[in-house]
Amino acid sequence: MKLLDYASLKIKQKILFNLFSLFLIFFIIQLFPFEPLRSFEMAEEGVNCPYYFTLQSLLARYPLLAADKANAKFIKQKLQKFENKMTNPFLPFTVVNHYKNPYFNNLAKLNLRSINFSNSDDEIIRAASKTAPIVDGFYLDKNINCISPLYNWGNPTRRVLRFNLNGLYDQLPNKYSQIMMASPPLWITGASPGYFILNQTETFDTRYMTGLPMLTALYVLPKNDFTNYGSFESPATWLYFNIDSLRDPIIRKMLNIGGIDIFTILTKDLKDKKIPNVFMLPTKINPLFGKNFKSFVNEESYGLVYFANNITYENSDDIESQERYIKHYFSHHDDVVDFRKKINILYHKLMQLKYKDDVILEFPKIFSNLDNSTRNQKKGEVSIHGIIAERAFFTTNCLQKNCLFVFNIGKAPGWHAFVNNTESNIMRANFAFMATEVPQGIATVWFIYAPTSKLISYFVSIFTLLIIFLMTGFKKSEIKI
Amino acid sequence: MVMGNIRYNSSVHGFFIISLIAGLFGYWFAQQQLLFLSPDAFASYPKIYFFITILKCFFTIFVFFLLTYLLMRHFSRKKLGVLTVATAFFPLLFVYLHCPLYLICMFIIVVQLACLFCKWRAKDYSWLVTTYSVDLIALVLLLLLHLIFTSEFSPLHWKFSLITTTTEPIPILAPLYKSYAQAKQFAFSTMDYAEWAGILNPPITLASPLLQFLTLILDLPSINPVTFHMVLAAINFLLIIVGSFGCYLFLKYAAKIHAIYAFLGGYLMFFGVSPYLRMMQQADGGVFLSSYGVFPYCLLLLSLAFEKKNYLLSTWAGLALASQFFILTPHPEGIIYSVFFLGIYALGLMIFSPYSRWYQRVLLTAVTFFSFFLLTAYIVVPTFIDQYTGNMHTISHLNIGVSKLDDFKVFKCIFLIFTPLSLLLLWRNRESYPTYLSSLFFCLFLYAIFISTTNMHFNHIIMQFFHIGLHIDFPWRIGMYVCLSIFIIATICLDSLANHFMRLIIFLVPGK
Repeated sequence: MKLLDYASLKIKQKILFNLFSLFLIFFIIQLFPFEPLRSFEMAEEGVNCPYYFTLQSLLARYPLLAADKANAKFIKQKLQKFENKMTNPFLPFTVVNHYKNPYFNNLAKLNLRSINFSNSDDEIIRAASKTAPIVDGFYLDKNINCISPLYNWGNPTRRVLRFNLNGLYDQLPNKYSQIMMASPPLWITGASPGYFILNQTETFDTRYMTGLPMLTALYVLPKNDFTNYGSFESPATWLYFNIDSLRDPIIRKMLNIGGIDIFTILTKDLKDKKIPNVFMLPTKINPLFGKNFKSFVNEESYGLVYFANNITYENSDDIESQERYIKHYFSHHDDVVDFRKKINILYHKLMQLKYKDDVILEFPKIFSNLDNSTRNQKKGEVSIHGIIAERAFFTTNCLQKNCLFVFNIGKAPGWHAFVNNTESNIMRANFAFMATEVPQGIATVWFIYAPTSKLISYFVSIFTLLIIFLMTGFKKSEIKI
Repeated sequence: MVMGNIRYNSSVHGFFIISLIAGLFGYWFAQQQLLFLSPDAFASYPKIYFFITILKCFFTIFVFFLLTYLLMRHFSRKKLGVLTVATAFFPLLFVYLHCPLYLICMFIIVVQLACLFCKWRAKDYSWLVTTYSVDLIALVLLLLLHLIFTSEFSPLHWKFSLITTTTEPIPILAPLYKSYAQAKQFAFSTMDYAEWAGILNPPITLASPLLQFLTLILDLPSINPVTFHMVLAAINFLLIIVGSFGCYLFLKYAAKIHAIYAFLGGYLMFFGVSPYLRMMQQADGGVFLSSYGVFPYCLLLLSLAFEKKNYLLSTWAGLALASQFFILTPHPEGIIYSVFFLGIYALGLMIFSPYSRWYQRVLLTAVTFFSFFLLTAYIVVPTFIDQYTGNMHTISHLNIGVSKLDDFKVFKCIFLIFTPLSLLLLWRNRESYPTYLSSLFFCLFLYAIFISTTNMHFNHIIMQFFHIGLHIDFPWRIGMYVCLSIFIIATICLDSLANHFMRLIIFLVPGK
């Protein structure tokens, strides 16, 4: 009986405890003002302004798109959706004329009646490439109001547009083009003139100001007002720069050597700033965005990879001492006047390069026996097979005894070059980029980024993880909480 | 003895089988990686790097295997051995038959669950129910509450995932997007040539091995940015659930309070109506979420390590702290805060733990931080080396701003009410009072830091000496930890209050 009394008392106690707890919790929740979630409002905005990813930008993104079945399936779904819209019998005459008929005509050229009858991934990608401007045109024309606020930071459509920027170009010169976008000084993202060099106490974010010292000093901040703003969502590099700097011959030269293939400039800036006609190069910009932008192909650009033309030699020790100074400058914020003096010596040397693809190379003189008569002749061809993460694969066809292959990416410790399965020495080209020697004829070239520190630390981390798991799994007694 | 030998032999066989499977899978993976680059790449690719890729893949599979083994061993109550778990990984070899990876993973999970069900007996089911039912209910409730009310990243918003994560600046997300795309090309790296002049081990770039893993396993279309945002929202949502549940576990098992109050604490950890916690989700869009989400597990495991004087639990605390790198590498500020604040909590434990000698306490803390350092070496060491050798230059934020503290008023009230109360009520549960006192110490310390870093003069002094300013333009980045510490104290106090109330009732019951 006593036991029963005790049990009932325990139960009552538990019930009371829980009731009291719930009351307390309810009371505490009441203390907080509840605000509706913002995402619902944003979602409404999204419904009113539907986003669209241009097929063109999707296709431009990956050279080996068709190899991924999920991607091909996604593209097929997009085309099917478009076809379904086109099968509506009450389509306006203009839509039939501008979109429906050209679309099916283009498919017919590929011997296809509809995308629904296409099963091979390659076929889908070819059909998409052929019809992309038509499909994109249909959706973008329909939602033109949603595309306009390009620079409205925080607007959902802006985000979509940033992913769509490849739609700006009907055709990039190549998949690995480096693009620079000019903007008025105030719009430069991350850094404004002089902030960094003069060490002002103004805010900018670290991600805008991290880089390889030599390359940053010479090519990113030649006149204190550049920023290496790599916008990764596009297949090409985007660098934002001050539109005023386009007039500066030193900056132009640096951009050429750095391999900036395309300049994109807002049309209204072009009017205001009166950019010299010398820059008015043939544009291939998508007419849908043409109102806002002008795009110029920089024919003087060295490109991402090339064979060096004329080679001037520079003492490695001198370059290293300059590099040491620059590193010290960045880490200790040394005097800017001294820094500029030192940098100007290097600029002077780079400005001496007369022709496209001329290179300043560090010692040793590997091309000492270079025949002067062949100096300005065509050196050969370079083709990019693929660049994914730490691996870059090229084939070269050198027409001379040997050639200097330049990969226009900043030289940093940890890079390894392999020519025809043999490790090759990486030299500094134009003070900051990577170069290696390739033999006559067809050769395979690999550039692999694999620093020893990274490899060792990776194995240290994974072994630690394994040891922790093994110790836990094979200890005699189990840990009880 | 014979049984022992059989077990030993089966373990050896198990390790041999998993090594074989991992090696063969590694070979396939390395091959695919090159095929995506170019069909001709395989012939000329340096063999040593090919071998390194296989080795990396091998160890990754091995880690997964051991993790699975630990879970299976625990839930089967040591009835499942190495051999069984290793054999369950056999479907990995179906990649040679062009079987999709998601199907293979499903096969593995199904086989393992089948093994588990075969081994379970009636008493195991009752053990499962008695041990885990309350925790499971708490997890489901947290999931439902965050799903419906609180989370910005709730699956209900995934349809508009591109819009819900708008607040996250593109430069932060863009490297992650690139790594999402690279995952489908069998490259688990964040490195990208498109950075041109950029550094190769950027300390600020977001990286998410989990996101890349999910992308590859689920065979997501890597060209679709909407899917990318969905996966990211899913990871953030997962972090919220995991974090809330971690806070619940800490309060229940380390602070040893009643499950209801532990649940309240767990939910409050991400309660969307708290100004700082809301800002964390909306303004920083998940960049600080991973360090915050794993933080309660660090507190839990470190508290238990001190309580049981167990060095293995200390290493697990380090692993919990390091896990933010495996899920979603946070903003460096987030890493610094989480490491520093765990240090403060560990200091509290070292001061207030009475059951061990001083060198044991120091060693327990050291093991945690040392294991954290080793586990994160793969990201931290190359960055430090680049920075030290001058091959990378970074300029930190140079300005100091004073934040508005208006949003903090409600927390000030909670803090002022509950802190004295908690001191009075500590005696209730003597077993866990080191955790109480450490939590209080943690709370007071954080509060002091928060107030002092929002003081302009104080920051100028720091700037003078270190040339680095604390980034308090965004007060929620520290504020969220202050909120967490206050919630911990508040829930402990509520639990004590409820207990006292009950004692009073029992005392007043006539006849007792």
